Amino acid sequence: MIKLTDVTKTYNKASKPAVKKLNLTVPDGKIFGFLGPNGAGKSTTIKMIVGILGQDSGTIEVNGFDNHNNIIEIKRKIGFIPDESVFYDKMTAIRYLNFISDIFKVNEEDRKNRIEKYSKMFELQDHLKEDINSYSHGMKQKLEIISAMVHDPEILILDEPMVGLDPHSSYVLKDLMRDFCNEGKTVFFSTHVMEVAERLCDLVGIINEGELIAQGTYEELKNKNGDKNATLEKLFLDLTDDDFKE
Amino acid sequence: MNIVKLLVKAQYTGFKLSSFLNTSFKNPNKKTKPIFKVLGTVLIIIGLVIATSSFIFIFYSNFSGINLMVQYLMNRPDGGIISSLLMSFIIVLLFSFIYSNQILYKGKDLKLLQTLPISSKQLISSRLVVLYLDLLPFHLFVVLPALVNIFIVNSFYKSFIFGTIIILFLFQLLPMALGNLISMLVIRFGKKGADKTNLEIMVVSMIMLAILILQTRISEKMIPISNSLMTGKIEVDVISMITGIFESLYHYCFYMVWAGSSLFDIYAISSIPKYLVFTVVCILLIYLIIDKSYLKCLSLNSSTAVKKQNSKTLNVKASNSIVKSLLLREWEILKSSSYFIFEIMGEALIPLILIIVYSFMGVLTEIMDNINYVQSFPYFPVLVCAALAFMGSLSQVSSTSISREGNQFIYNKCLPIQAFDYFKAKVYFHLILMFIPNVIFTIAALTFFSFPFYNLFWMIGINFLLILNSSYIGLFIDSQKPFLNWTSPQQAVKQNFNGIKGVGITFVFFVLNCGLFYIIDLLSYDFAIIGVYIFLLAVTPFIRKQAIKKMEELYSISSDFYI
Repeated sequence: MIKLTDVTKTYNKASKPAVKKLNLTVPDGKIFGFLGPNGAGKSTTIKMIVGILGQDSGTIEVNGFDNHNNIIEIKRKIGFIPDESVFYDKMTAIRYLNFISDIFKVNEEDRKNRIEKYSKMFELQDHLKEDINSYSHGMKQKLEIISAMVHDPEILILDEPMVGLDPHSSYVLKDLMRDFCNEGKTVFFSTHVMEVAERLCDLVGIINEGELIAQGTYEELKNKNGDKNATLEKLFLDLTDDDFKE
Repeated sequence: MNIVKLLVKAQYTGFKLSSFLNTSFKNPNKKTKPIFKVLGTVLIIIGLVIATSSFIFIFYSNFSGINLMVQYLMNRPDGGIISSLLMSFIIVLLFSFIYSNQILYKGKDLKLLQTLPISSKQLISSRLVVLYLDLLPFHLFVVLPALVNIFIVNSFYKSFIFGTIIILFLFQLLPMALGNLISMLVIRFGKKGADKTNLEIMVVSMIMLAILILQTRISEKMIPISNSLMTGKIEVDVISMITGIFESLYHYCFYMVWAGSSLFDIYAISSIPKYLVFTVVCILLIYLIIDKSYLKCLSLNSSTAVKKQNSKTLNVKASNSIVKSLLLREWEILKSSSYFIFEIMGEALIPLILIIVYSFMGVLTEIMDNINYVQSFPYFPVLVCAALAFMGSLSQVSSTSISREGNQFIYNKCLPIQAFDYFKAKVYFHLILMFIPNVIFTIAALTFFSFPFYNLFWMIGINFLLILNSSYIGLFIDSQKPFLNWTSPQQAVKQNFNGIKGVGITFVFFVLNCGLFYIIDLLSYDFAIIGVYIFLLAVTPFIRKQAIKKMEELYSISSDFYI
């Protein structure tokens, strides 16, 4: 479970907060879609949950651990797929996966099984001995996914995960996210693709200008908006785009 | 495996060693014959060995001289090693400040590592090990000659082993920690969201200024001594003045004295405990402060906040010249890192730095006093011209120009610009940085030495052609395989083999011109200058053509090595 209580983050004291008094709960076994326009505060929120940034005030809890006192425990439980791949470019993919496994202290048998399983799933098994800098954007994205799964996390956090993936891999990832939740684990992901969020998410949160303006299931959002036939895209635009409302 | 060890290993295997070797020895240009490649590499290695050995020999001689002097004046055996430690302290402090910002706070992989279950202590420790290993060669380069001198002069004794360990492996920890601390303070208390480059430049300038003031204070004391020695009239008590300088050194540089004297049995018992306690306490304090604010500093660097705009109107200026726009872009790339500015602008301003240092040291005053004698030497204008040309042409401005673009280089391919325009912009940029200061220095030299003004024309002409060719040679080399996958700016310049190759080949070209002058001068002095001119005018179009050809190949559609 991920729980954010009154979380605020300001980068520059002279400017507006990037995230303002954010309250958010993502229960176990759910896929949570985090939506918002560019610059709304999605990446800042994700960076705070995974430990890249600290909040100015409020609390962040992941599976019962708060990020002030147990950040290392939280990181052990999270598998994170960032929007922008960061690798040691000169490493081969297998060496990189071994490095990540070493950091997470994954034993040899488990890492072998998981690397084989996920590399096969994402059709990367024949490229694991190649240097990462020879990979395409999509291949790097697949490697990010494998490295996020190699330690068998309890929570999966994905920032724009579908970007760059081919249709097959995109389909496999969606399946993987669903299976992951079926095991009682949590998925938290941000996306701009409303169709994906609509079909995949159990819960949706919409953030705009640092504030959470809507949260709930797709059905709940439709009811609140009073339009039972509205697509998630229309709901999103109604809530976040003043020009669209007009 | 220990996490710290893992992180250090990842840093070296993932970024550093392999990437350097990759740039150095993998050449995509299949047309180059292997024999030339091997020959070129061997020549460069020989050149590097000779240059390094020369410096080591100079250090050895200097420290050996200081050793003898201090032994004679103060009856102490450690003058050389203490001087070398003082020099190393300053160098390590300066480079630690410049490097630590890149390694500790701006490393490309930090975004990844921050998401992994690694404590800030483990992360800092691994970064400090990397920084320590990066700085070690600088320290050893300065200190080893002094150590070898002590080992040769004195017979082997007990303290030597322990003292050697302290000097070789522990001494650089304190200046390194101080560099880290300054770097942390710049990030922590610099204006939020603002570009830190200017602040970094200011800090380095202040350190340099402090060194210059120190140098001046010593020089001021040395001038009467030097005058006495030159005139043969002992107007001052030379011995007591030199002794005074060394006494000040021993008084103020107590840290170096403790470390240096740990080599000798008579001082070791008292100096080693003082040295160790002082080092441990200072380092613990510094790293306690750094550790406390490390995550905060990383967070400040991860900030996506946009710098607040003061002006309400947008500054929209159109340029109708592509080359001018590319020139501005070259300047922006240079400005993007304080390290680029230190390295590249430093090269451009070497003569100015030397003038300031020599004027403070009194060398210029000495030359002025003997100007009539100096002017009577017929080759003096040629020597001045050669010195200025040497400093102007040995630079890495062009030989790392494409590499400095880093992973942004690929976007050049999307722009509707001819390779020739890139070539022109890079050459003009080189000339602005290296030739314009050269003209100013030449005019200053002519005025200072009261040379007839007509000398300006041939001096500027020769300097222009040499600097122009150094730009062509640099671009030719960097176009063969620019080093684009760098992760910290120092890799793009200092650890870029193209830069070393560029300087090496330009040096050979310079020596060739000097050799030509020498041979023709055997027949006639006037013809020697004309001969060098004709040679330069003849080879320039050829070198230019080769550089353009290489750049066209690089920017062509078939060049895809970086993908």
